[in-house]
Parts: sequence; C-alpha cells; structure tokens
Amino acid sequence: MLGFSSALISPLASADNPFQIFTHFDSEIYTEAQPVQAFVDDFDAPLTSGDSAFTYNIFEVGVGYGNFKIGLQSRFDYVLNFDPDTAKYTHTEKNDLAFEDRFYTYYLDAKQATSNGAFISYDFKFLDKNALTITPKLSVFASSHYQDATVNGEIFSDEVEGAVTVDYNFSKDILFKKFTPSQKPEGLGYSLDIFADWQVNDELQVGFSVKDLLYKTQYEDSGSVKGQTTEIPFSEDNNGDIITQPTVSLKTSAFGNTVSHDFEMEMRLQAFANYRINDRFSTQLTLKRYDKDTFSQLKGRIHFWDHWKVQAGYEAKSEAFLVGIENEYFGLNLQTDSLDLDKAYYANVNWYMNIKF
Amino acid sequence: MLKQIIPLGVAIALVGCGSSSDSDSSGSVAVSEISTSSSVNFYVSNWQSPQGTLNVLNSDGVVQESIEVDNINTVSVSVTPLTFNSFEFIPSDTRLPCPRFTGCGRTLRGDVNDLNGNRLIDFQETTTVILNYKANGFSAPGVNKVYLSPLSKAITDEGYSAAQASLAATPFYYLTHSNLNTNVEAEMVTNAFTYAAILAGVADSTFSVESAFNAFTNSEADQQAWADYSDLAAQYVTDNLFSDQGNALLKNVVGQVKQTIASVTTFTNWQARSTEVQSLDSRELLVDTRNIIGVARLQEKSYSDELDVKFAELEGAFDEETQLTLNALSNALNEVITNYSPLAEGSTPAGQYKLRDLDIDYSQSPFTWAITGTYDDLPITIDLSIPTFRVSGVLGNKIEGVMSATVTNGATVLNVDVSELLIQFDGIENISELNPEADTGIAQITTNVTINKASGKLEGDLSLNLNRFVNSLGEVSTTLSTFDFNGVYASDIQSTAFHITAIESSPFIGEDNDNLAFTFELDFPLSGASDFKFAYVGDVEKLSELTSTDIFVSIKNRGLDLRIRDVNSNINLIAKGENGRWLDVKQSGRNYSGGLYFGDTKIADVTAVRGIPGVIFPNGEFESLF
Repeated sequence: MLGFSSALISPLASADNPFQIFTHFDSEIYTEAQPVQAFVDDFDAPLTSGDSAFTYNIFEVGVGYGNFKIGLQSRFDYVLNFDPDTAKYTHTEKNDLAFEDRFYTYYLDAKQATSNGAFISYDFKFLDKNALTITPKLSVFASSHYQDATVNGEIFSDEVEGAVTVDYNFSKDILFKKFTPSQKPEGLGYSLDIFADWQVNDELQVGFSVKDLLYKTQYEDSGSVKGQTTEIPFSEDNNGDIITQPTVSLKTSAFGNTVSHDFEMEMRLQAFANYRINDRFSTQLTLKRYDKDTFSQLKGRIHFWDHWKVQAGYEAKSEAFLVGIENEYFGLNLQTDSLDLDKAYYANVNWYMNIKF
Repeated sequence: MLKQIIPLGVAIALVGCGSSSDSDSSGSVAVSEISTSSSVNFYVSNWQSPQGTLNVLNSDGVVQESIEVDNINTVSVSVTPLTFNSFEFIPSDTRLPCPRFTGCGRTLRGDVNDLNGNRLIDFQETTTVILNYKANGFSAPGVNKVYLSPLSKAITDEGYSAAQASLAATPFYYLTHSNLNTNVEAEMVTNAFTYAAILAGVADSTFSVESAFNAFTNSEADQQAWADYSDLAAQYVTDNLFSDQGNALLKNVVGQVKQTIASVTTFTNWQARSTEVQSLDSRELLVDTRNIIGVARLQEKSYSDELDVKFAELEGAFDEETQLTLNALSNALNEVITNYSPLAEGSTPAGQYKLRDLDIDYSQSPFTWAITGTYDDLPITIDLSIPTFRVSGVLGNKIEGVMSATVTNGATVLNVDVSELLIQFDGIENISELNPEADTGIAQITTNVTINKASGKLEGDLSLNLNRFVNSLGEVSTTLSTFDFNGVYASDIQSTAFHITAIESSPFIGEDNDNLAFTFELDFPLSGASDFKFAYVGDVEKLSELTSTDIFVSIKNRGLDLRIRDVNSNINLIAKGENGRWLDVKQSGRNYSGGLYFGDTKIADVTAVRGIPGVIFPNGEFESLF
C-alpha cells in the first residue's frame, strides 16, 4: 500500500536532484467472511464473521521536478460492505445448505471503478529545514467501468418473499445480467489526496494522509436499476376482495433509458510514526482507517549499506505478516496472512522505482 | 384439487417459483414500434341483405360518418384508436326470410309471402319482420370486429356492458384481435340472436327485442317475451345441428355458443358500460391477471383444504349418476306424453298401459298420469297432473301442470316436489322423406328439480329440449338435444350458484347421447374474491387435464379468458382481458418470452429478471407478473 511502505514512493519523496522519473504499483485485497479466493468464486469456505471486503489497486508513472510531480495513473478499486446475515444467506444459498425459517437481513453496498487519468502534486514546505511537507495531489480521470449498488431489505428463507430495495448503477449488469447498456457509459471524475509529513527530530518522523478526500465521477449513459420487491404482494380490502401489487417493480435503463450517475468513494485515512532507534534499526507504527475498519501495523527495519533496509512487520485485524526490501531507488513489499493463497484473507503487493537525475 | 378445477395452478407454476437465474440474455430485447391505428369490420347474419347504410357514432351518439355500403360483411372502417364508438347498420332491403329449416309456421290465406300457397311460411319464404342493427365498443389498435344483431342494439341502447354476461373478456358482439374459432363462435351467437328475433317476430308481430330485453333487465313481472326469445336463440343451435342443411362450422364451437347464449339470456347483474378513456400502455390487464393469481395463491396458502373439499364436492355433484337421473326423467316424460296423451297419434284413451318396464295409469279430465317402474334400469315414479292442455298448430302444443317425481340412482336421488311443469312443442312438423308418417319436433320440458347427493344437493330450474327426428335409417328417434340446469349447490360447507348446460353436438351419430358438450359456470365467493366466477366448456373430468385448457375467470367484475397450453413442458398462457388487451407468456425451462398487447400492438415485452417473470415497458419499467 502506498502509504505504509516508504516515504520514497509517495509524492512526499524529497530529493536532492530536481528531476526524477518514478513509477509505483500497489495492490491490496482484503475480505471478511470468506478467504479471498472463495469470496470471489463460490463462497464455499467455512463462514467467518465479517461485514466488509475491499481491494485497492493503483499504478502510476510520472516525472518530478523540484516540488512538482505529474504523471499518469490507473486505478481499480472495489469496496463492499455487507451485513453478516447476508454473508450467511449467500453462504447457505451457494452451498445448498438448509435455510433457517426466518427473515435474513439482506444488505449490500458495493462500489467498484476502473479509471485511467493524470495527476499533479506539489510539496509545500514549512518550518525550519523544511521539516513539514504538505502535499495536495489532484487526479483527473476517465472511467467506463464501474458498479455502484445498494441492496437493502430482508428475504424470507429461500422463498421469493421479502421486501428489498435496490439502487444499482453500472456499466455492466452483473446483478440482474439483463440491463447492460449497449454503449459503455462515459465517466469523467476527479480525486483529491492530501499528504503531510513532519520530521519532528532526527529520530522521529510522523505522517498523515487522506486519500480520496474528494472523489467524484459523473457517468453519462449509465445502466441503472432502481426498485423494490414487496414482502406480501396482496392484501384484502373491506369487501374481502384482493388488492395486489407486483412482487417486483423496477425502473431500469433497458431500451436506451440510460441515466446520468454521480459516483463517490469513501476517503481512506492513514497515520504513521517512524522512530529511528539507531543507525542500524528503526521501527514504524501505522494506523489505517478504511470506512469502518481500522488496521494497525508495527514493523521493524534493519538498515544496511547506504540507504538499504529490509523490514518485517505484523498487522492486526488482517493478521498479516509483512516482509520488504527498500532503498532510495527501488522497493518491494509483500504482505499476507497465509502463504496458501486459497486460505488468505489479505494480500498486498507493493513496488516502486525512482530514478533521479 | 384446486389445481384440477382451476388450472390457475399452471399459471402460478408459469409465473411463480422464480429464483436467481444465470440467464445470459442481454437487455437488448426489442419492442415493436407502437402504432395506434384501428379498423372495424362487421358481421350481419346472412338472412339480412348486406347492402345499406353504415353510421359511425361517437360516444355521445353523434354521427361521425355515414357510409353507403354494398356489403356490410366486407367493409372495413378506420376509426380513432382507443375511443368508444357505436355502429349502426340500416339495411336497404329490410326483408327477412324465414331462417328455420322446418319453416316458420302457419300464415293466412293469400299471404303474398307464401309463395307456394301452402299457408305455411316455409324456410326462406319472406317474413314480415324488420330488424335493426347496432353495437358499440372500444376500438383497440388493429382490427376490431363488430357482430351486429337486434340484441347487440338493445344492449347498446341501454348502455350496458355485455362482457360479464358473455362470460368473456369482451362482449359477445365485439371482438378484438380475434382468431378463427372466436370469430365463428361470435357469428353463431349473432345468428342465434338474429334467428330468434325473426322467429319471435313471426310468432307475435308485436314482439320487440328491446322491450323483451328491458323487461328482463328491469326484472319486470312479465318476462315471457324474453323467455321465448331465449328459447328460440338456443333453438338455433339445435336446429342447425339436427339438420343436414345446418351450418357446418357450428359443431366445433357448439359448447361455447350454447354457454354464451345461456349466460347472456340468464345474466342478472347488468352494469353500465364504462366509457373511461383508455391509455395505450395501461397496466390494467396486469392488475387483473395478478388479482386472479393472487386469489389462487391466497387459497393455496391458507384455505386449500377447505377449497379442496368444496371442489371435490362440486365435481362429485355433477357426475354421471346425476346426468343419468336427469336423462331418465326427461326421456320417460317425453315418451309418456307423446304416446299417452291428447298429443298421441289417434289420441290414446285413458287406461292402464305398460311401456317397457314402466306402468302407466293414464286418466283424463283432468289429465293425470301415475308412472311407476324403472326407466333405463333406474327406479322411477312420476305423478303428473295437467289441468291445461293447449293444442295449437301455430303456437305449438303446450302443457302446463304439476309434477312430483323421484328417480333413484344409487346414492343419487332426483326429486321433483309438486313443481310446476311446462312442456312445449314447437308445433313444427318436419316431413321426412324417409318416413313421411313420422311425428317429429322439439319438446321443451321446464321444471324445478332437486338432486340429492351423498354430500349435498343441487336445486334449480331445469330446462330440457328433446328432439324427435327421423334418423338416417328412417326411424323416429328422440334425443336430449339441450340441457340447462341453473341453480345452487348447497351442502354443509358451501352454497355455490351454478349454471350447467349441455348440448348434443353430433345427434346423428349413434342413438345415445354420447356426445354431449358440457359447459359449467360457477359463482362462488372465495377468500379475496367475493364475486369469483368461473366458466369452462368441456367435461368435468377433463378439467384436471391441464395441458390444454380454456377457462373464463372473473373477480371484481373484471373477466379474463385464460388459455393454457402445455406441450412437452413448454407452457403457454394467454390471458385476454377487457377492451382488447392480452398477455402472452411462453415458458421454456427458465426462459420466458411473449408480450403484453393491446389489440395487434405490443406494448411491452415478457421477460424474466432473476428468474421472476414480468413485463418490461419501452420506458424501462419492469413489473413482475405476480
């Protein structure tokens, strides 16, 4: 992940040389209720508690001159919040298990977007020796692949009975498999990140970042399904005569009735404190807050040669171990809770290259 | 059992049981461009000259167009779609020939219409009757067909809706987007009501369909004219079936025609016709369909046991034992009256007689019969007393009396408890070339009967027509030609109004009534449907064969014609609703197709969303079928 590897790969990277070329890649995936593999496929692993899943993936390449950086950016982000009861329902359904005779809470909130664009950032320097750096980063991007879905309600056992509302906007209909628009929607969006880095003294450095402080994409000609199912589609009037309503009624984008949709993402917060114990060792504490999930990570480093370091750490919540190697020009970090990828709930790959002239 | 008698079970199977589906169909289903042109074709019975003036009137009765037509049956008129219009046909030549193969009775000497001077108005000789033709309806997109008759005029002038009375989604005289069978049926019904108007006019020059209909719908004390008209309309069917000159098309739709005539002539809940403005993409048919399905689902959920028992009882009540007791009573009466009464050849004197296994004690002034023994192996006793005996060549012989009777067939006991009895003969002698001496004609028997079954009793008015005719071997044969039983089935658990009719659809094949086409109409309140009505043409036993069923159902005074076909698990449901709207749902496995139509115009596609079938409109709105 961008923030917790090294300040070098962030736009905060300070350099003696005014001109640099850099690239970095970060891919992070985390699932609850099921290991990643089962979550994506058949939901057939033993069910654990949980209510969220996400993956953030970013690749950037750019040039820097002085305090300016500009570059190109590709992102793929997917954030899913769900009710644990919904995970149970899905697990029961996908594995042909016996449903309980009750209403299951059905709640899903999913956002997914793929975007390609450009970014610009500038390091504002403050304090003595420029000890405090504050870097705003603005990205502008185009997107034609996205999902934005909220399903909320309850479903009784395995019957077609339950009251559920659906608010679903998409480029490809994967929920109903029916309303994919003939032309891909066109989305244009922007995001704003803020990074702060303070070298308190020779030993202590603290930092704070807000990613997607602002994030909005407007999709034109988007697919859309909005509507609800009704729990009991009939009732009786005073005469004892039936009154009915459709079990399912939807407003869809079929037959060219596409819509314009604003897509937003939740901001992600991160803070770290980096303490240099001596020439050979340092340690870092990092806290990440993604929506309702907080990850805390502690790692230790061994410094060697000139600017080289290897590091290892552990992250609570994801229960993931981390190993990595970094220097001024290159870094690679790997993090997972299981080397058997079928059983992993968390995985993170991060690398960067930075060439200075 | 519910599914046996109401094939809605299939409809539910068709539209229910949805679940997540991996259908790969894309969203690019096409809906044809919505057109809104309407045209109207016409039918007038061919006894009437087809040349004349056609007036098209709007819903306020103002003439919009007046067209001189050479042949009303081939003209097609464009009208504004989605509007109510009336159509009036004024024939240039008002003369009408006698439509009955056996002639229209006696006339005065020197009648100019009696071309052969036999003092009879023979078949096709001109009568003095003049008829008027008018009908109205809602113009659905596409082709509409209007069937003009004196009765459609009476109903139109009174502003009534005839759909419910017709046991159909649309009135018997107005079809939208119809098929050949429904066209033939409508033609036959139109012929019947026109035929009856001519014959009633010949019998009584003061007769008017309008005043007879008004007396009927206003429940006036004297409804004899309407009763006569109704009988004559029913007679059109048998007249054609029993004649080799008869309309060959009739046979395929005889049950439906009989049921429509029986229902229209006995319907009591005439309501004003709605002239509410229609919108092309109205979803009223979806509401009607969903109500019916909802009612059926409601029964299945909470009341299925109770309903099972009710339906089982009804099925049992109309079984073969019941039919045999009715047959025995009517045939015994007919044989006795035609052989041992003033009507008999040579006027049989009073005395003791034996007719096969029946002992008959016949006395005169007053005329009484005590009949005991067995008929068709069923124990039978009949006590008959007839103070009035009208013997008339013109009006037909008429017997009015009082009867008590019992026919026993196992646990089924038919009782007539000192009930008024009416036997009418049509007074028409049809001289057969094969057997010129034969005494032929139609006897109509009307009485009130009670049939006790093991679990309940059927009580109601029974009307039977017996046709005495010369068969292909030159022998005189008597056949139960039509049967109307209109009453209530009562038991500990239900009180259900019924109207059952039957008609012998192939009288010349075999001696027995082996080809009776039955029709059933049941009115019984269900949970969620206090005015539930159900109608079906065919054998009771065949109701459980869901593979090919046509039924009429109605709740909240809104009718639906349901047609269900199941071939190799490919199910097709067609629901025809009011004003020409119809829904076509085809299911093959998990795939659904079809459309929601208005006349010939598709207004929405049938599709499934996650396995749940529904319709999707051009604006993208999806509504599940249930």
